[in-house]
Amino acid sequence: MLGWLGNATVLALGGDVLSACLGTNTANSGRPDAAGDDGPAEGADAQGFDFQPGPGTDPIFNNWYENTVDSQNLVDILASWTLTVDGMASNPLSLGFADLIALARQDQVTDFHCVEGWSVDDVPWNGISLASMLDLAGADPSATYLSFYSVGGEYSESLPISVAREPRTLLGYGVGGSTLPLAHGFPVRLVVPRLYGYKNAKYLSRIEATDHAITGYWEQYGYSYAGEVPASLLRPGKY
Amino acid sequence: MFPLRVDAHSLPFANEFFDAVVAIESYLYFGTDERYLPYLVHFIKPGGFIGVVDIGFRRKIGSIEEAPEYLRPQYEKYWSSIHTVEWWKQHWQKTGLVDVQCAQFPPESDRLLRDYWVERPSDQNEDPIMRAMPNDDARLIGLFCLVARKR
Repeated sequence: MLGWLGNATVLALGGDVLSACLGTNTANSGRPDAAGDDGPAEGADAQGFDFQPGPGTDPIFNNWYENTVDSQNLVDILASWTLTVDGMASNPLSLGFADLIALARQDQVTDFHCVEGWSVDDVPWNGISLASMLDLAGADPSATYLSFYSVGGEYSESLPISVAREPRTLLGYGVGGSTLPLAHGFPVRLVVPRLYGYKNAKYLSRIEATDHAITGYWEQYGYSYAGEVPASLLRPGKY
Repeated sequence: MFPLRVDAHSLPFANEFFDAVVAIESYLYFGTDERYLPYLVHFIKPGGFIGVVDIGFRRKIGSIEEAPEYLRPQYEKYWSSIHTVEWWKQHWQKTGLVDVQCAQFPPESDRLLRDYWVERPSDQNEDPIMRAMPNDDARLIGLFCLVARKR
């Protein structure tokens, strides 16, 4: 339904009937294929909040493994999540999920590569250009790095600001037009297609503009800071 | 589709953010206010569309006395704020902000309404439409479709 609207940006107002028409279920976000998933339970506990993770039923998730350092409590995320953009910035931001999707959206189809040797081709990301977010926050020209902090406090990452400003670097909040599933970084993850997945931090809660690189979670165990996917794996137009 | 629960009166979007707005079985709850359409059209690009599908009457019911018996138990709570499609057309057209392009009961109306009340779980029998539909042999109740284009 509503396919006749094509790629238009549409506001749909409604409740139960609308959800039924669109085939979405905003009240129960549990994945039907949860076998083997050791993440936190989704579903009934998530009712009554203002935004919800996606169902994860898109076939793109079938072979997308869920490596999460710090398992996330969905209800805590829903109850209190904001994305802070601060540090060396003249207009620090604190954004809710509604604020994010109200910004100019960038859609891109790019590949996702894990350092473990597997890849997911043609991920249809929806998000916001990180460069535009930095501009919105008034990032200081003398800031040379960004630090990324995930919900829960355990995971962190860092990028040179030049990489953060590449046109394919996104704050990804959706795949295929649905919010991210909890296992894949809901509400927002970093997307840098030419860098390995461990650089694409999930569950972002804070982005700090700074003048130095921090040692990210996996980098303290010896992974490279750059995290670049070898050129032989990069497909033209998909990074 | 990025579902959000927000107040229809404080939509968190920029002016002219949307190409179109559609409201499915919800507009009745905020759109009868004459000030609502002027608020909502701010979010639509010029030339963009607004479409509503909702419950309406095929003839005007001006008072509880004019209402058939089967609407009276929930007249005050629900049916007194139900209007004809002509009322809705006038309600929008008079704002001068939009041109109404379609205001009708589409041919699917009866089937959609029947599916609605037949398929609802029986514990929803306080639902005014559920209660009224089995008695609505005169086809007073229908689903109207209203489409307008922002000037």
